[in-house]
Amino acid sequence: MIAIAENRVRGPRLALLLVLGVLAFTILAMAPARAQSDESGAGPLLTRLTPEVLSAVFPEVTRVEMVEDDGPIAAAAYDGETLSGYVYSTLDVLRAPGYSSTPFDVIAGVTMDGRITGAVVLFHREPYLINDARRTAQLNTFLHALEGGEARLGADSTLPPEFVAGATISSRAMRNAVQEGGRMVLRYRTEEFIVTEPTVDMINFRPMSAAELVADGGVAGARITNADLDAAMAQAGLGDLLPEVPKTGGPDNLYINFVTGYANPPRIGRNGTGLEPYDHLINGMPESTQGIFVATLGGVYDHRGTRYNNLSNDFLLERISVTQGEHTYQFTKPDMIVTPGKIADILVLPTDNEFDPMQPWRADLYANALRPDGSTANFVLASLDYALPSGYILMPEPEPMPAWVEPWLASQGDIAILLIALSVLTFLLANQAWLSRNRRLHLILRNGFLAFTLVWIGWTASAQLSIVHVVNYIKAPFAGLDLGFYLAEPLIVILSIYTAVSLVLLGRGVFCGWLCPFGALQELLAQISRALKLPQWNPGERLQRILWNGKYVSLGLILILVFVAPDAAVVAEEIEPFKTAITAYFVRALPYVIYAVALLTIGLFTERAFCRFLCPLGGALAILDRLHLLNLLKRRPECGNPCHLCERSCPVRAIESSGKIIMSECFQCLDCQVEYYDDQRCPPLAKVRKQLERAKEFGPAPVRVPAGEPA
Amino acid sequence: MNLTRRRALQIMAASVAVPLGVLALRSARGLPQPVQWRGEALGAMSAMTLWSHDKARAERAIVRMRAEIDRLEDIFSLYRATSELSRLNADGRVDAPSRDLVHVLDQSQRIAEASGGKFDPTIQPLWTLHSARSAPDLRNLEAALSLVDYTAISAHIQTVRFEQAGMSASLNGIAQGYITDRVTELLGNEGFENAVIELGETRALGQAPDGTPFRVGLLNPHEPNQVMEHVSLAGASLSVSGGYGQSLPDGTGHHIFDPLTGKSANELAQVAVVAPRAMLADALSTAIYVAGERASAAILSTVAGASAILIRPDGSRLQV
Repeated sequence: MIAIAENRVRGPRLALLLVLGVLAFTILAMAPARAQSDESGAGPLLTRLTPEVLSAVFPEVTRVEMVEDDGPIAAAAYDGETLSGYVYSTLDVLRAPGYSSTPFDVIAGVTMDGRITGAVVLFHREPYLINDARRTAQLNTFLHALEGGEARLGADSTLPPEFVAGATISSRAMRNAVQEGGRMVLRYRTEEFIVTEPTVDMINFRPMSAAELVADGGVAGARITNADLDAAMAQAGLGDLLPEVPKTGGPDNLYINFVTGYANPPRIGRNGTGLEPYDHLINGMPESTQGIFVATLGGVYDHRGTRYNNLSNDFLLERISVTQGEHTYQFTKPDMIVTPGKIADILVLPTDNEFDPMQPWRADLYANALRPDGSTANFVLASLDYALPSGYILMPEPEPMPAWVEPWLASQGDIAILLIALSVLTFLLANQAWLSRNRRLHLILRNGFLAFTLVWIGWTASAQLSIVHVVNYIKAPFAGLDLGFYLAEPLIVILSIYTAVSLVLLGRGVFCGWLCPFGALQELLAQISRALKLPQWNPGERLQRILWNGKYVSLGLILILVFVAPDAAVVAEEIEPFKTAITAYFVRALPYVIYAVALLTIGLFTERAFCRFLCPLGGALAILDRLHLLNLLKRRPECGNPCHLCERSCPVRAIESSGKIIMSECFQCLDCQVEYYDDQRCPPLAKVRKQLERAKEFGPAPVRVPAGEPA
Repeated sequence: MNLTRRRALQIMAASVAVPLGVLALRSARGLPQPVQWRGEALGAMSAMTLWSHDKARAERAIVRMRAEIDRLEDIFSLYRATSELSRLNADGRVDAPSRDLVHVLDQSQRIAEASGGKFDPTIQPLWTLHSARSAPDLRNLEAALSLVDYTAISAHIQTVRFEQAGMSASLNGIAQGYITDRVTELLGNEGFENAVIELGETRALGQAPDGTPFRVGLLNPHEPNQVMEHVSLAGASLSVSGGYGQSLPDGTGHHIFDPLTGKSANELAQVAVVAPRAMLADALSTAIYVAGERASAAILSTVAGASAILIRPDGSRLQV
């Protein structure tokens, strides 16, 4: 079996194994075979598998079940839940005939390790067995003795076929069919076929009639009537001459029914000619010899020609040529492998390997017209274009997708939602002046987005970015984790990239203020708290500067522990309540829940206390915040001196009394910008507004205000 | 601050409202549901079961763990000719080895030391000898035994090498435990609370979602299709060593050798060790299986929190 695994790619060798040591001379009658096989009245395999038959071919089996695959028809035989082997019918698998051209039906079983478990003949038309009780008994004994033998064509059987004296051909054919069929049934299910490049299928076989082969393209056929003949002659300019082989009957009468195909795949070559000629091509010739199958299935004309029987070895088969590209092949008698009793041949191609079975080719069928002077004029009777159908080509397994692709495909909807949300956020930040001018709009959009971040990004999609991710990214060069490990969380990957880009452009606030679910939870609770007018407490400027360092301490602690004591780092990462509050919906052990609840409660009175003073992820982003390139937050000269409005309205106190916004503490909530644009509250704006109003009231109307409008 | 009565009530009400909200959220989610993966890792049937509220998230985590298992197989698998361990065995050295290889070799040397050489990662020459079809003769056995020496491994972060030519190592008694640990810890890191990881060895992450320990079946060494008893496992690992797993082609025994005699160990029928980490459980069970009943207590004492169930060949049971 192992040797086969290595040879799999090379077709002809495989076939060599397939038909190794064939002794039987069977003739597979093509078109008639189908009609005759119906004579057996064979229904589906399971209906033929009566309990008596089953107990004879596979004792100790409790259950059979049809195998649903494309392999040779078989039923899986189970002993309890264990697959013991397969039961099959030679009629289904090989449609092999014996002495009579009507295929027989022998049911047999094969174990998983390739031993025959028994064989029973259900139907046959073998002339020397019918109505012969003695020979029939001998045949049954002979088939019974196959039990325990190897399921391989050419393997020895306990009794020789001669045991059934007088019906040796029949008994041998049945034995061979049982052996070969068992091997085919088992091999398809137990051996792995490794194909590294498109390869001609030399493995799969099932009985097929000529009509089936024409239908699936395995052979190309031409049915030429007398009318077609006349047309071909007219086209060759020989319309007024007579064909060398005279036609019979009217214009609709058949002149020749000709088929051709690539002979090497067993479904074509073996079904087309039969076991023996096919075996000769595959095993009796130098390795990788190729052949063209040609057959005449009816009509007065044939592809061999009238002189065929006398043809000396040197004469050409003048009625046939095969052309591929520039190359035209012609054949002499030694190139033919003939099928006894049929006008079906394999034309052996030269072994120069120029013929490529994967490329299309053309077979030309010629005929002669008789001139009045007795000479002949050659013309093309039919040209058949042939290309090996894809069903006869084994394709290599497509490279499996890396495992991380699965989540990307599976969460396309989530990815789309997130991308839309990020586009909305980008739009809001890019148009923050527009957003900030309308206090109500800002309130609605900001809280709406925070609610989305909490409920969808956090609780629904579990896409809470966390210090664990940062640690994983930092550890990547050392831990050697596979890239797939990082890529398998699509939303986290997208959020990480967006956060990194926004960090470089605007600062930490984009993530912390808009995309962090726990941050959103705190801020929404703080809004409620503010609405309820709960007392708020914030540290003084100096104390706050000290407390801000808390998040760098927790970040430093985790980073040191990651490299020094990884186990402790896992505990230290619990500084973040994200797992508890977001990923686990608070369904965690009590200490974690108490910790998270405590942080949220503190947040009611000191807005985002955790974010500002403790969050290691916030610390990591705040350190990198020093890099940011843009500052879109607008200030006036009056900010800080004398005006302190924004300073007081900043919910996280990121604006110092000097009026400077400490960007590493800014959450980009835009509250200060709302004040900035509010001409009722921002003192410099209010002053201008009042001047304008006063001017309207007392002085001449400014240019912008149309005259006559009521003040 | 001027704290009026009204104010104080407000603050208290708000402080109570948050935990109540959290309780409501908790009960709305119910118990997490299991998501399972079954497959093959390191040549053994493997499984991971994760409990999560979010099925898709658990499935994505499993994909990520498979990537990690695959990477570790590229280091430890003897079935992969290009694995670091295979290259070490073929060339006698590996430059710029992975941290994982260095760590596991280092740990295996420690346990070899602690077990007095009853566990030895350089056992592979004996396996090679015994996997031949015919019974080994004495000369070959001695030659193979002379190659079994855990002290002759030099494991440093720049280079891992054998100090004696012809040596080869098998980490099958410890690498599965290491992989089990890695995956369990990564999952814990991802925020999973309840999981059972069976990658050659079994490790429980946390406990079952209902708060009880996981129950893992222990097979009867004499009837490997029957569960003999159940072991409770919460945040701990179970490793079972027994000779019934793999018999030798030469018919002289099974796959666990005594590194000192070169023969299959047979004093005990089965050893099950529960320890905090799967790698330790894995190595301890192998060591005790080889060393036998008398040495078991001493070997167990080298790892805090380890316990063992020994099954003698007559079927009697001993808890250590």
